[in-house]
Amino acid sequence: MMGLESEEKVEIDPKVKADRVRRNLFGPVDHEQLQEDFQRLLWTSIEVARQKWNFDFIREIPSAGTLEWEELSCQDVPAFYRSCVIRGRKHLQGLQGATLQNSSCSQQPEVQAQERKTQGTPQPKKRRQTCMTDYYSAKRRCTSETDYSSKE
Amino acid sequence: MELLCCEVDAIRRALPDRNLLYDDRVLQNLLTIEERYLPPCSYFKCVQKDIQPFMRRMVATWMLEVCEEQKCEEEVFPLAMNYLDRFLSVVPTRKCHLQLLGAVCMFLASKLKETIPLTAEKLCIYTDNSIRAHELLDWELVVLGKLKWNLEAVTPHDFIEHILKKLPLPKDKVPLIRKHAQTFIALCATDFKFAMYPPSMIATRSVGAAICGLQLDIVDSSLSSDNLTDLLAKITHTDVDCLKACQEQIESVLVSNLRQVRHHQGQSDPSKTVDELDQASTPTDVRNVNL
Repeated sequence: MMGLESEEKVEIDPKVKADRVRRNLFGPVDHEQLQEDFQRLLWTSIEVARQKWNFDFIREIPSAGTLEWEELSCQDVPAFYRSCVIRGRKHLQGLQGATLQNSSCSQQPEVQAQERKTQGTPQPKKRRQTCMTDYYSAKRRCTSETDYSSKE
Repeated sequence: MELLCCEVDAIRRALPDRNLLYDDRVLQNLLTIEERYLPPCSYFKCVQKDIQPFMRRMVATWMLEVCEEQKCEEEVFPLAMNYLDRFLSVVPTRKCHLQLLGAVCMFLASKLKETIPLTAEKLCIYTDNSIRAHELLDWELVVLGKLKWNLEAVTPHDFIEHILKKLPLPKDKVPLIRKHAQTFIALCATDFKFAMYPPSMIATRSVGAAICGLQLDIVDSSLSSDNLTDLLAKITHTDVDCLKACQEQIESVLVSNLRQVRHHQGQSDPSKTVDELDQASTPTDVRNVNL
């Protein structure tokens, strides 16, 4: 078997070493393609989540399915689930602010099939936590709360 | 009155937790759950079209170098490779996106394991700025989704302390054996052959190889090759024959890996594997104790 002890030490300029580590392995990255793939994968995962939870995470309304959704206000859930302020970060294209601002608690649901949602929350004062819809310009605005107030 | 003046280094580590390391239930639970985190298939055959095993090795070698350069905790690299393999076994990926994926996996593993994690900016620089920070953050979300947010994977490192404490080793040799075993684990992680092996098996082999490499059996006959295999097999409930059968293959890969690494680093720093005895010493997961 091999013994590692026999290796002799060679001093080397750390900067030279750092430069060697810093490298592009597989040639130029196609950023548009990357963006496309990202959008596709994200859409797929949202679709999977929609089917699993029968909840439309983009419009933030329940869809038909086995789970029954109950609306809770932000105050009724543990603090852990409320939106928190994180240091702002730039989002990619598709973030059009407008459609996103009407919900301040938008996270994945818990298993108990309860969903908290704000009832017409005013514009949040600070930046809130990133949510799925940050990556889309949602097709339709969720115009009124009455759409889903009576649950199936 | 005592006056104490500490100039604390940036990294603080917990002391080894005897409650975890000396409780056999932890080891048993690790053995029970480890298979859950293995990539489900040999993805070069059934999932990937654009990327090939040698590309995995390229990105793995680069990741290892970044981790060493940044002095990451030892678990970060094998954990990142676990994420990479699990992602690649479900998502067909383009060659030109592989390095981004490697960076994302290091980003996640580092955040999970380190007090001061790698930053997105730093990782981008290491790709020679071929990727952008916002892309890294976007893909982080995708990778997390595909891993089902299940990041606390069992790695070979989780077994090292358990194995070491059950072997009759001379105390003064333990740090060196640990260090060598960790090096072998890193080398295994760069080779796809080992990607489907249970972490406990990699850990067992790596410790075994480290002890053999130091030729401790000359001093203590209880560490002779056969005795050692028996002992190791008992600790991780592996079949002795299976252990022996695989041993040769693994050692040969380790040898060729080492040769390659030496070749690669002939002009750089071959000593880095043996130095730097500054690793975390609480590799077990508190959550694996069932009370």
